[in-house]
Amino acid sequence: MARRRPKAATQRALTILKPLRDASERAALESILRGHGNAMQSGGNSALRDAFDAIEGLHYLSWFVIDGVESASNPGAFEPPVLVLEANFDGAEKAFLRRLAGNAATKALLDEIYSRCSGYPVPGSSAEFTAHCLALGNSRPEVFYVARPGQSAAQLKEEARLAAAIEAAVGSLGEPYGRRLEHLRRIWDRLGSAQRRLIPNAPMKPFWVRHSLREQPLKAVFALVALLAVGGLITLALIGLDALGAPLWECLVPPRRVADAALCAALVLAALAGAGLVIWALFHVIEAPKDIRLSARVRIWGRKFRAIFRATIRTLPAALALVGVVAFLSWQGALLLHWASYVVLGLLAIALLAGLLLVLVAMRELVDGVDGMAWDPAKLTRLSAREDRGVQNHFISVTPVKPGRLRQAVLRIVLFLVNLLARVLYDRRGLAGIPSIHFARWQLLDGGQRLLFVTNYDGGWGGYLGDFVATAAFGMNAIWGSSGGFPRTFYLFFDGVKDEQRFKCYARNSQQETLFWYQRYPELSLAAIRRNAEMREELARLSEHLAPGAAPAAESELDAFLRRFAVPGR
Amino acid sequence: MPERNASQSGPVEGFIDRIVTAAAEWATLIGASVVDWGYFFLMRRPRLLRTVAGVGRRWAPVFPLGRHKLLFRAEDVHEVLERNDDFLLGPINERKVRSGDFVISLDPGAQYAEEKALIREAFPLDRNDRVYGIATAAAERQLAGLPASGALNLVPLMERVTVQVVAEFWGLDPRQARSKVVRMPRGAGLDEGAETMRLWLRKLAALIASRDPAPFGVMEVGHACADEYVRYVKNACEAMAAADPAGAADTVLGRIVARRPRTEQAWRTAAGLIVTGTTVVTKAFTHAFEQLVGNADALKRATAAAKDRDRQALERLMMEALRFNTVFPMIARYCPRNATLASGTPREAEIPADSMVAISPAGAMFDPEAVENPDSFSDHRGLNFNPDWISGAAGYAIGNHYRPGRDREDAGRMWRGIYMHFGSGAHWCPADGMALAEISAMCGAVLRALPEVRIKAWLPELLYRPLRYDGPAVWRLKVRYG
Repeated sequence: MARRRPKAATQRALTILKPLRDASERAALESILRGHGNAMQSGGNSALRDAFDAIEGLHYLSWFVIDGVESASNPGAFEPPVLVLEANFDGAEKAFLRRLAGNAATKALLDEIYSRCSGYPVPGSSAEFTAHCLALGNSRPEVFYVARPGQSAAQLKEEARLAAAIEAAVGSLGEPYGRRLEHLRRIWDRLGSAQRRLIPNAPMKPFWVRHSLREQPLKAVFALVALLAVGGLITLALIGLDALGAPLWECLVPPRRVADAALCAALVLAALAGAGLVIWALFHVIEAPKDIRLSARVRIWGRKFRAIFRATIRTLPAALALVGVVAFLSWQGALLLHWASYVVLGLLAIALLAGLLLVLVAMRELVDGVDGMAWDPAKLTRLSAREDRGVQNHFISVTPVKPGRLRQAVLRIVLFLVNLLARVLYDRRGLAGIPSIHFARWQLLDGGQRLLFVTNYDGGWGGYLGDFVATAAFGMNAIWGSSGGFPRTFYLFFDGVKDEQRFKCYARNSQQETLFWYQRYPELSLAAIRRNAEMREELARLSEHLAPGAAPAAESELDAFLRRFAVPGR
Repeated sequence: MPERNASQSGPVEGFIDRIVTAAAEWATLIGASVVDWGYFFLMRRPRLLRTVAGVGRRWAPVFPLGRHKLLFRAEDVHEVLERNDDFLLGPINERKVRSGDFVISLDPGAQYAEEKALIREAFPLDRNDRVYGIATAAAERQLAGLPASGALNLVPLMERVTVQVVAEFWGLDPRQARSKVVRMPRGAGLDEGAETMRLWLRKLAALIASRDPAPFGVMEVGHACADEYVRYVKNACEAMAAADPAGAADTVLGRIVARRPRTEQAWRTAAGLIVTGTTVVTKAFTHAFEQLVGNADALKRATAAAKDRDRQALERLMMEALRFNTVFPMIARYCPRNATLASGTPREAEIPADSMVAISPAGAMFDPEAVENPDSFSDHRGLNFNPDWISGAAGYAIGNHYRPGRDREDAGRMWRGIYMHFGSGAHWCPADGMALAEISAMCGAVLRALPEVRIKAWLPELLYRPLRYDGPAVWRLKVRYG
């Protein structure tokens, strides 16, 4: 019997901001973090790496320091710099923080770092209290993007191991002989029993990933029809209850015409089904196989009749739902239309408001200042030195938000929509078609004065920013168009990042140095992660066809799977 | 085996899916019976099919049917048949062939090469002459002693000729064949074993020539007969191997058993070979013969050739007659990965992975770009046989210029001919010469034995067909003579 599959993990983002007690501590703190970060990255501090590896569910973690903002109470003076802890992990925030503070090595690191920050307990406090104090500085990002929703860090590592095992099994195939399904059987048999158990047991993906509107727009229509069908079934139930004399509220009693409509629909459906069955039987009689024994004829006809009878019976719920939909529409159709007209009017009003906002933004764009194309060579050298040490990179940017309520409102609306659409229109190829982002977040700081962007990505900085220009200019303009000094946009969505050199210069100038960065799976690019997951999914799906009596697998699927390893067909 | 279902769906989605799937299944059952009957209707009306193919060739040479494509032009049909890696036959046939893997259920690869080598070893060089001789003698025996005039159903007679070829050439003695599926016809002097074999072969032909799953019980009957038939061939092979394989008779089965130490491979290959080599011959004969009789001039020449025992003339006439109602008017190929067809032409089309391509030899053989005066009956067109299997026994030289080292375009030009009854590319029938010899022998014997043979068609083709079918196989062709 099939057991329930594990639930998908929920990835979360943590952004803990803790101001330094004194601005003069900044250099010392940065030095400490840089020292630990460099040691861990270069393999010099394996104990610390092991400690982070032991924290269940952690994908990435980084520390960096950003400048304080101008003091509201004392204009001209600045608040102390802020230490930012940014992490991506699986599960609940509190549990994660408890694990972080509960590990001796990471707790020691926390004490060492946060002893210079306010809002942190005295070193040596309990893990529970430390986690609580850290959580107080946490704030949620406005946009949080996850490339592989539902895939926990453990699952990513597990899939990498499974992929290696599958590749090894394929490698040992030798000269392929026979059908593709036979190749697959041999590969399956060469895997260990633990691996064979693991492969079909991938956790279920989240609902919005399984039913991405971008990939299955018809599913949305289908969902609406399903909702309508539920209404239809309820209507039929009410008709039945009313006919049986059950006491119902008056508003729940369908008028007589609804029952008539249901009956009419049922009769039409029955007539159509009857005609279909007659045609089916007629053709079977005309084309019945010749020269066969009566016993064989009876056996074959029996099988055919059983199949059509079973299919007819199984169709009854769908037919009932269809009858119910007709009844429901004859009862509440006018009301539905009424509400639909409100929805349409509402959407029109929103579109009008959006157009008005865009015009206002466009008027401001004409006078907004734009940064020059100058950068600090020393900063650039410092930042570049920490990049391209492996497959993955880390990028942090802090930009000032243009002043004024209009900009604030527009930016918040844009961030809300980006966050929503990234889920509803989930694109497995990547955020807005950018295939290299593992995690990304946009977060408003200091009440909306600054915009923080943090991302873990694959490949080089230039190519990554180039992807922004090539495939996601629309969205990037909408988000950063409200940032001070950003290349001039046109009606918020246009131009902007298309001035590529100026945009890259702006991005460099707003970039913050990553002082400490932990990666759970530094060797895995997103392409590899996708490939590993696909390999597992495909093999799980195909392995169902290996069972005795199972339906044969589609040759295209077998072919696609084997071609991953360049195994020729038959 | 996996312990859990790998599909990604929740319980609510699963419930809704089940309801929708059930409704779709019911509609498919009803719809498929209509579509299948329509398909049979079209395939059994060669004139109508030619018209449809002509319209397709002119206005929609690559006709889309959802993901699938229908092709009518000779160039495209050849391209599909010759691109063995992109357009596969194996997945189409593998479920139909119940005896296990065999060349028509395999795509070019290590096993395919091995199976083909085995067949090459099993075929004698003078195979066409042998089959011609056996078929002529058997047909003459079947037609001997008939009254001077009357009506006759040719199909069972010619099926018995095929059974005789199975016994004498292929080496499978049918006398012990018994079935719980097919029904013995009533009649004196009929051998139960031979009649069982005859009906098995017809049912298996229906299975092979039909789409999968075959409709109206054809598949069920075919599979039941295939199981009985395979068991029979297996027992025969095992008995032959147990006796003394080296001393087996000089038949195809004897050669296979003698050359293969593995009995499983021997009976698997033998069962497949016999079915593919014999079952569609009766259909080919009836199709060609009906067209021949419908053309007074061709019939006159055929009668003269039959009297003169001019085998080559008869073969040319039958091949041409078959063009007007070919055995496989539509052939399917499976496309496992994205492919571009007719690249560089205005009809260039993308064929998506996991789609089918249905090619129409019936349309291609009337393509004016490939055939001169396609609508006229001419027995002067060049015959083309599988160049890889030419034995030279019948003296044909056409096509044997093929050298594997040549580039594909040159090879294609050499391979390609007008007639596509036996396919093209890697799956070109290796027994094309034998099949043609057999139907020519049948035709010669019939024309010699039945004077003034004619077929009465009471109504236009659209309403009445003198050929009656049992699934895709022919069941009756009533002729009058004298």
